[in-house]
Amino acid sequence: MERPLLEVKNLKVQFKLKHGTLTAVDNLSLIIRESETLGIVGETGCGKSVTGLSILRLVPSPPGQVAYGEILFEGEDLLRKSEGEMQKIRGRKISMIFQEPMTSLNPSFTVGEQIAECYRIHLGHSRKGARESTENILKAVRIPSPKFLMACYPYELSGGMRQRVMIAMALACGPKLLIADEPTTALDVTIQAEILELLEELQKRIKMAMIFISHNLGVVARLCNRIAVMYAGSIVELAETSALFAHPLHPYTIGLHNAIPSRALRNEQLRVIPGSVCDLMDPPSGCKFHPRCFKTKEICKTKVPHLEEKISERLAACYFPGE
Amino acid sequence: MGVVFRNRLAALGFLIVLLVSVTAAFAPLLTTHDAFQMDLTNRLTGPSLMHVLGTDMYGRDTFTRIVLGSRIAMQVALGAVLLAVAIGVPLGAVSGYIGGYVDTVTMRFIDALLAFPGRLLAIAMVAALGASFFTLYVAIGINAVPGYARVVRGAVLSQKEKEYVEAARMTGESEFQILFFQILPNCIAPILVLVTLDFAHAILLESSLSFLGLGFPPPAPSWGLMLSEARGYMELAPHVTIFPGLAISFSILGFNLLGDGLRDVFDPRQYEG
Repeated sequence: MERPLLEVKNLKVQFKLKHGTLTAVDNLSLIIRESETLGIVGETGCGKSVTGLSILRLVPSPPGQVAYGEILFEGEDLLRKSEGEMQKIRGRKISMIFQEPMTSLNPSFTVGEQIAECYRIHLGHSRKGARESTENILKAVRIPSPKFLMACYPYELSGGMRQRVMIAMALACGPKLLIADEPTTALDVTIQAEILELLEELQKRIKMAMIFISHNLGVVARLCNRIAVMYAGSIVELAETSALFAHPLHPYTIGLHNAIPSRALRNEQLRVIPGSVCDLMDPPSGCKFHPRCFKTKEICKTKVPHLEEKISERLAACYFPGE
Repeated sequence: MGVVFRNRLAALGFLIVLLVSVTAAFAPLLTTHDAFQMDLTNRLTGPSLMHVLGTDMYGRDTFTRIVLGSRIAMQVALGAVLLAVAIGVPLGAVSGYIGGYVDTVTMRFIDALLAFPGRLLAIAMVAALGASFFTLYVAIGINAVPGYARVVRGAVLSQKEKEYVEAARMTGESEFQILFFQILPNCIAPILVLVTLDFAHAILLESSLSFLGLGFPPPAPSWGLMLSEARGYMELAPHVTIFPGLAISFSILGFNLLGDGLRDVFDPRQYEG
């Protein structure tokens, strides 16, 4: 089997706070192959973003720290790299786009200057060369008049435009892996569709892999080859997109699935998952989902289930997978 | 800049600052007499066509001396403020950005400096080192350092949590680049206000020092020194003290008005109120 582009092994990220230790990511393992798209879905606070940040080693520290695990990128452990080596990787080989395009650009510089900066830092372009490359990448993200836009300050742009600029910045140096952390959440639905389409197209063209973090199952379904469902810091199910939707294994996935509003069920109440997300400072024993699960048995309360292959190519962390 | 001029007082301040700066820059071209040439037959004369602002007790032309004095005032102020910015801004920026112990230690040091009476510190330094442009820069500039350190620290603290900092980190910029090329450009506004206000302080402090005889020695045409020399003749010829005094007040007023105007512009909340 070929070597995966990125391999995360048993990652554990903790935040040491005044009144205790919070485990944001617990024993998480995943693999991303070249030019594939992996979706990570889960509720707010389940550790999706922290997983993305820790791959780039950008978890704010203190209080955050990677307590355990390995992050192998092209066979090398990113956790063992020096800060200087990481700076060469960030933006060059692994890029990230964030949720908030409104504030992720520096208000003091023009858009052109900010994108050109990436070229100059990583590829050592001259001022003039960087300008040309900037124009090209802006064209690639389908901005109508790049020359005009390059002279604009961020406050002069709309949210969709800014997100395009952020994407342009992230893709400037042709990264191998893009981590997209809810890139469309802050945008309205039509712009959201455009941005998704754009990401899809660019990904094919540049042949990069993508981790797409979202809480929107619909968006993820459209874009991703495989989907990892996270709950309370761990992956509870990992499968091919079509399989996951056709036949979810983990009770949490089933719950999420049922909670998607559908036109067929008009006038009915949304079928929500009972209870709320567990306290990460003091998670329940055994399976963290057991207090909310509809088929909890004795073993769920005492023993932590591991992510294992249940059916062919289908991983789930549950003792009683399936419906 | 247009917003500044909508505020009339700020516009007035700007005009005064411009006037003082231009005067200082082109002083030799504007003078009508030799500032050091004594004329004992024409002592303490009032304003006339020959001497626009009259003459002092040695018969020197007051207008010429005031014009040349603007050079001393502005040069000392510029040097002192630049020095304060050069020390205070990086100190505050690094302190705010790194935080933790570095921040605590730096800020306690700044507090200690702030606890020292500024004027006394300046007097002590000039008395110890003698008057020269450089000692005046240091003596006056050191008083302004805490202001910059604190203001910049505060601005950096609020900016460093912004998403664009995270985004810059994501593109592989080093911490140094992020602090000085991403964050600091966003902290310019309060620095600019402080620079303007500190010019006024520096001019005042230089005048006070030379009034006390701690600035440049006679016959230098420093405004404070002129004031102090003419003090004895105030009943006989009040204009000799009044004009240098006006020069000092006028330039300080200009910088203060401009500084307040800038602050109003940069702080929209105050601007509305």
